[in-house]
Amino acid sequence: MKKFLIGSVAAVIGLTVYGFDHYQSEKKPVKIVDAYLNEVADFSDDRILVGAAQNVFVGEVIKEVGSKRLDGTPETQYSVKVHKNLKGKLKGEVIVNQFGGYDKDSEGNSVLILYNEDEMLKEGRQYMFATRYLESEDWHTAITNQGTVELKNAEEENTSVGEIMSALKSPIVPEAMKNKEKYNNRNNDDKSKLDKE
Amino acid sequence: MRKTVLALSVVAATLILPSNVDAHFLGHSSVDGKEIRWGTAKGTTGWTTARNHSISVWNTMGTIKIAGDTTSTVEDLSFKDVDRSDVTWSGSHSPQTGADVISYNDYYFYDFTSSQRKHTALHEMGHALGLDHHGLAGNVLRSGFYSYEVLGSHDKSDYRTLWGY
Repeated sequence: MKKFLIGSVAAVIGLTVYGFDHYQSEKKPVKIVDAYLNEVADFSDDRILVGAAQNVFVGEVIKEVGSKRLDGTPETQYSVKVHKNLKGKLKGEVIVNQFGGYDKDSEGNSVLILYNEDEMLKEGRQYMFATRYLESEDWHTAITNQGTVELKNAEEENTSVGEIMSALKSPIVPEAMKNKEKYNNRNNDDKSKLDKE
Repeated sequence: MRKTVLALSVVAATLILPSNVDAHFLGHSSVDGKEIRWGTAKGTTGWTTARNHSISVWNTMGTIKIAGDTTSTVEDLSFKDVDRSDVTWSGSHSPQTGADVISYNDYYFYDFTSSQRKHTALHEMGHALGLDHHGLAGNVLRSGFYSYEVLGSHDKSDYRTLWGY
């Protein structure tokens, strides 16, 4: 009986210490590392945002479905249910890709890389999305920051929809997106020739 | 007594009140021991003119040496070309395990002018040096789409504040 009691007390103490330690480690916030993208236009102007986007829609993030590094940098994919199209005609659930995601630092600790301080999408939340499509991955990449605007309530949604609809009356295609002649007709040796111009 | 109070007030104001133009830093960089050693561990770029221009211009500041990687150094930075039509950026600086990466996006670079490519390269190298965006005209770290080929006064002052002379 005595041994049983001692063993029980020891087990309770051990579990308490383990639980506290686990709780403390779970509480530690992941370090955020800021990375930067040089945008080709000022997308704080909604007319330029909708001019650059191929799709603009209200959608709800269902869940995170993947993480890829097409070019070595973390990109996170989410399944998003389309509620309302403002530009384009998306249906059902689509994959929205967002630059950013988890990586390891030089010491092996998890870090969260955010591009242009754009917060990662959250499951269950509704957003106004402005995206561009990548056929090879069948995903829609969100324009950083202005292309992932959270809509917390009906009022915010109505306001955002109104602003986008107004912008869509006079969209502005960014200069960098207008002329794609050299890109569309590129050959392997074109880059070295262009580089020397 | 009055002079002492006045002097202390001036000192306090200097410490508390913001300066007209704040410095802009990332809090991290690709700099390792006053150098950035660049190489090809994580990719290469065909836009060598823009890359080399960014290296030579930032090297004129003198404190941080940007040079090619050797067998006796650790690579801090790679350059890589990407081809992404689904994004709205022409260049990026990404902190990574091992060497950080500066990427140039072919989707825009092909039709950019030489000045626009050089500006993007200068801008991204500024991030590699730990400098952050700001909105001051005439500077390569001004966020947005510009064609500056030389450093502006705020680029230089931020660099000096961060790295000294």
